[in-house]
Order: sequence, then structure tokens, then C-alpha cells
Amino acid sequence: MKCYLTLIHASDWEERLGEVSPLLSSHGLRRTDLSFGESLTYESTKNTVEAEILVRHFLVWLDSVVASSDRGVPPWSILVTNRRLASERSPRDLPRWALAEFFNSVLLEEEALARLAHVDPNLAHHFELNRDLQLYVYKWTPRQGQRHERADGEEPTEVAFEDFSNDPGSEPQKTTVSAKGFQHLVSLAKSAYRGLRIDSSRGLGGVNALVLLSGELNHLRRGTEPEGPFALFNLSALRLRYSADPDSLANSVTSGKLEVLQITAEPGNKDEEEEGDGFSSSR
Amino acid sequence: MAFRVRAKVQGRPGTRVVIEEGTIFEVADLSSSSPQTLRVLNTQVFTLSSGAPTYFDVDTECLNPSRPSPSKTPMRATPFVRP
Repeated sequence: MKCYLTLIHASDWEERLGEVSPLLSSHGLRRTDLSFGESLTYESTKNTVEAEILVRHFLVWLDSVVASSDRGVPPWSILVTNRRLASERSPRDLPRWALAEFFNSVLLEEEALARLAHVDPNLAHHFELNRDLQLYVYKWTPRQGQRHERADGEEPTEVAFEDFSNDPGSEPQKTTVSAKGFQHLVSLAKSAYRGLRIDSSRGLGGVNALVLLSGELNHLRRGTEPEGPFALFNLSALRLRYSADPDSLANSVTSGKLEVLQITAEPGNKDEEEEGDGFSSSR
Repeated sequence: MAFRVRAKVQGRPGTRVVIEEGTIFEVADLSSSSPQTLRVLNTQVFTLSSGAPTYFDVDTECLNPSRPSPSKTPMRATPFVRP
């Protein structure tokens, strides 16, 4: 599968390009000569690009752009397909008007969508087939752009376990389970928090944090284990989002740039001399 | 009170790592004596200068006031951020 990524009509494209360039290069994308108007088009250099990983990483980044924009829509687009844009069309090429068609959206070939659905069903659920293009289009909703404007304290909606959504753009939700201690609760939570973008094979976590943060909203008393009805809250209700920076700790681990060998926590002591050789840092 | 998260990592020299404000670390084992969720207080950027295992420290705050504070508690990185 070849992956084409086109950036269109972004007024701050130079700044954005600086942010997204490491992401593009880490997925083997390079500029092509298929530039059109104010757009820039990239294509993968390999036929075996891991399309679902690119889409997930790109959507995480794009999500932050959308959240910070006034219009609630992205200024960029992404197309994952084995077809190319062409001035002289063959049956397998995309017409140039497709550029306008996929402005502000994300389009996937069926194969890429199937791979995405395998790793992130919630995300894949937002794609709908465009019959003209024979591509699956991501449906942006105003709620995605406006969710950070939501007033704190909005009461989460109680939903059935099977309707519990872990899409960070969804409304605040909670679902109630019957817990018999933390171990039992975590096993339930792993099912409730299905589809989270967590690469546990590389040592990343998240479910324990969601359980403990939900515990605060359940007013779980100090030193006690959860017994009986326990409300699990979704990402939106817990005011969490995914890290959008491709160089973030989690995204660096997911992309294979970094391996975490050990993490510990303890009371801080700023006066203590740290064992910090091997890196430079800045705030 | 701030709590220090110390991470031992390894990667290619020149690798840039951003620990943004709000990044969430979770306790590795909920049956730990101090199950706690930590949130990074200030954005920090690290660049690995060698390929050897490297440590970095970040200041965090506890998000579970009803739970004991961490004390050399094993933690895990998460992809979550609370702005």
C-alpha cells in the first residue's frame, strides 16, 4: 500500500510543517512532485508502510490542531491509498478534484481502514464511505473542535457498558460495573476501555490511571478497595486527551525511537544533585 | 508537594523527547502500597547525547489525594495528558 499525505491551505503551514516533519520522516514519507496550488503532497517511500500506525499518529497530532482551531476542522488532510493523483487519469488514479474533496478530512482505502479497525475500532467507527471516490472519509464533528470549551463539572452521561466510548472527542460518559477489589476491577476496566491507543507491548500503560482517577470520582476512601457498584469514567469525563507531540515520551516509545527501561516515583528534593549524564534538557 | 518521576531510557543519540505539562504517569501495580497517578508540572525537553541508558527527572503532582504518596514506586508512562 502506498500512502499519500497532502497538506492544503494552511495559513501557518511553515510552522505546522516544522511540527509534523519528524512524524512524516519517521514513517518514510517524502515530498513528491504532485504539488497543486497551495498544497504539498508527500508519499511513502515504501510499499509496506504501516498505514494504521501513521493514521493513528497523524490523527493524534491533527486532533490537537483541531482542538486549538476556531473552526473546529483541521487545516490539513491525509489520504492513505494505493492510488495517486494524476493529471492524465487512468482507471486507478484519483482525479485532481479529489484534492478539494478531501480538504479538511482524512481518507482511507478499504485496506487501510480494515487495519485501523483492527487496532482502534473506536477511531475507525468515524469513517464513512464516499462512493464517488471509493474511499472512506473521516467525519469531523463540531464537538471535536469544541470539546475543550466545555465547562468543567459537566455531569457525565451514564451509558450501558457496550455503549461506553473511549473516543476523546465523545461526550463525558460513565458506566457502572460491579467491582470485587482492584484486581477484578482492572479486568473489567480493560474491557470497558477497549480501543485505547496504548501500545502495551512496549511497556506503556493507561488503564491503571483511568481506574484510579475514576476512583476519585467514586469517592473511594483511603486504603480501601472498590467493592460493589463502581463508575468508570471515559477520557472526556476525566479531562484527558492523548499526547499530540510526535516527540512525546509515549509517542517516542510507540514509534520505536525510545525504550523505557524503568520508571520510579518518589518525593521530590530539588536540592539533591541528580544522576543526569547522557542528556541535555531544557524547559 | 512535588513528586519526582525518574525514568531510565535508551535511544539513539540526538533523540529528542518532550515531556509536556500534564503528561500522566500511572502506578505499574495497583496492589502497590502507594497506588498513585502523577501529572507532570512543567514541560521539559530532553535530547539524548549518547546511546547508553540515560536518566531524566520530572516534577509531578499527585492526582489521587485519597491514596498514599509514592516512595520509590514503579510507574509506567501513558499517552494521556491532562491540560
